[in-house]
Amino acid sequence: MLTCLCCGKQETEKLLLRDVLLFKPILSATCCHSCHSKLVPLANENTCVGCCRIKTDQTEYCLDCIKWQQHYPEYLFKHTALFQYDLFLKEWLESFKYKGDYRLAQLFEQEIAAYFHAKNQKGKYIIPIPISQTSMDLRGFNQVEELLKSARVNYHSALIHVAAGEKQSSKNRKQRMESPQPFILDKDCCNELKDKQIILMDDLYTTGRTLFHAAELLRQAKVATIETFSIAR
Amino acid sequence: MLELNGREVLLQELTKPLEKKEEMSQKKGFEKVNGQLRCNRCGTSDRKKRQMAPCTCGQDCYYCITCLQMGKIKKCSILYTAKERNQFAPLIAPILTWEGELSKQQTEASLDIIETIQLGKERLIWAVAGAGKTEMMFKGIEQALQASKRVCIASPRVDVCLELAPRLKQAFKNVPLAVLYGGSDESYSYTQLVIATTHQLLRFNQAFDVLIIDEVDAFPFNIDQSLQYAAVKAKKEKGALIFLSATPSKKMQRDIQRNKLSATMLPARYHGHPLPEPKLIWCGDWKKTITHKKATGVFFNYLKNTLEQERRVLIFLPNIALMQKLAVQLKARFPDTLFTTVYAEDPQRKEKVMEMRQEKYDFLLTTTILERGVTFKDIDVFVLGAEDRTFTEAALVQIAGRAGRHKDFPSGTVLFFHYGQTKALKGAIRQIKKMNRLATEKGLVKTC
Repeated sequence: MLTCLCCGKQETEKLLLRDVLLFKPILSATCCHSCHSKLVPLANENTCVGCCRIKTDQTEYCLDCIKWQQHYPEYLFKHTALFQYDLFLKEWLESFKYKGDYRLAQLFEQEIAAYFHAKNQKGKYIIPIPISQTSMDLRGFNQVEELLKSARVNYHSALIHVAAGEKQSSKNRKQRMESPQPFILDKDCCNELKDKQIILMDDLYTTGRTLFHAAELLRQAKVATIETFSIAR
Repeated sequence: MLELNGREVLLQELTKPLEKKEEMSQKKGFEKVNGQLRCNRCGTSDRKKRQMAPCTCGQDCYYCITCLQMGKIKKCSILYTAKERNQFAPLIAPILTWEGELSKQQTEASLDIIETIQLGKERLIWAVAGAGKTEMMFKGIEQALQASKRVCIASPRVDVCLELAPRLKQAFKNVPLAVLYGGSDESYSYTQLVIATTHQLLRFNQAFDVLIIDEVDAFPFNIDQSLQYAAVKAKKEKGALIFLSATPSKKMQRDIQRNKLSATMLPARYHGHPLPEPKLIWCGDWKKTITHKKATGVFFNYLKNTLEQERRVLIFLPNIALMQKLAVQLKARFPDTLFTTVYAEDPQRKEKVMEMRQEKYDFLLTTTILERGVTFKDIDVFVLGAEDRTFTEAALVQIAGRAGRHKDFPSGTVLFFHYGQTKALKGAIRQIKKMNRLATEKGLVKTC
């Protein structure tokens, strides 16, 4: 019996013949079928190469990414997001971050694990986006780190949030784009970072501002490549 | 600080910062009671309902899952509470501005309510759907307000609270009223008269001298232990507790028989006409007729006849999936009729119900969400698949109670289409017949 993390409904899990014959560990789902069907996976959609947003035309990059490229010409634009940011994911983030339901970190553990444990990701250096001290005092945990922990992914907290904590989510687009660099590099990690392949992870990609701020610092530390990853886009 | 009177809240739930410290007391989020850890707000002590989580307090901390949606109660949380001292603004006469007349049975019930409030006891008002429950509370509430008692009318359902609020505002024009529910735009203010959802009762402690719980058998109050705990906690120890219901639970009915709970029965409607008695109609394997795209059979014939007589119908189905399948079928079968579907997560639920009231649709398909709390003027009621387990005895009685509520249209047809009778089906019909019989015996039914 499985109790859905999102809606609390109980559902019996179906065991397929395939599950028995393949001798692989059986991963039990974290949410019920109807909640899972509300998610829009971006893997099979026509998305922007740069930021993983769903688009309708055939161009490679979306307008936002082209603007970013003017800002950061030497930067490799490669963002991967798991799902489209819709009402369902909004509610999930709301419950997880703001109501503080810690259990919800498990919701995407299989998807996150699958992404980071893939063969081509081996040896990459994973850095979660930090949160401000004010948010930390309120929440008691960094949601990105908890997502990684729950998926059993090793990570390095190389960034430190130092800006006075006005949340990105409380600003409009213009204010977001104008927000100053909120992070600094952890000095102990500086040398370690050199020539590493980095994956930066955040929970949500909205304008890209936060991730580009982080990327800017990492480039100063002379890393080899930077990719970014988020749950929602 | 008045705001804290009778409340039990976290610091961030207060509208103003705390002032004097000597007036209030503090409680921890969790406490050990009889060797078991218990959430101090909702009373849950189930270990599975506690979640360990990292916390700024730096120790092993956990929080309560049961009442999480009302704000996180952690091991390190502090709940602030102050004694209810009934410090209200002076009342402006007249208190009761309602000028209507009560029927004979309403008057009796009204007297019972007054007595219960004066003695601080517990009572169930078992009134059939459409008996006029709200009006008979007025006298009791007036007296309680006069005696400077704090009064709360609570219900498990927001719709019920929102429908009650304007009626109470009308009846007590000069009394300030707070309406509390999740997602409300108004912030909390200290008033003598309160309407609240039962969830909001979690934020009170020993506050009310009179607590009236409307639709006490409704979900989730009927199954949620923490809400029942909250109701007991929100009421003063010597306060009166009044339950209103058309379909009290088996347990309550048993308590009445054993004289553990006093009850007042109101078997007749306010307009004095008997309740429409449902008819059972066997309709064969109706799931098959819905899924196999053959819009024929008993149900469709009845619907056709009813629509030809220009009667409007409310059609209840056991679940959303079946409802949507049927909707597709009906669209093909009756292309000229206007109808729609309503279910719990429907964003346009309110609007659709409103439009049905304005007679913009010929019929409406719905799930059990419309079983209570809604009134349509002149309507017939069909239940398709009445043997399904979602239709409990209480649900069926409530559904049947949707018909014939208006005094100008006191009759209506209620048809239960089934594929095999269940205990609930038979029980519901027995209950309705019993109420009608009781009403006739008491001489409350008009004989035309």
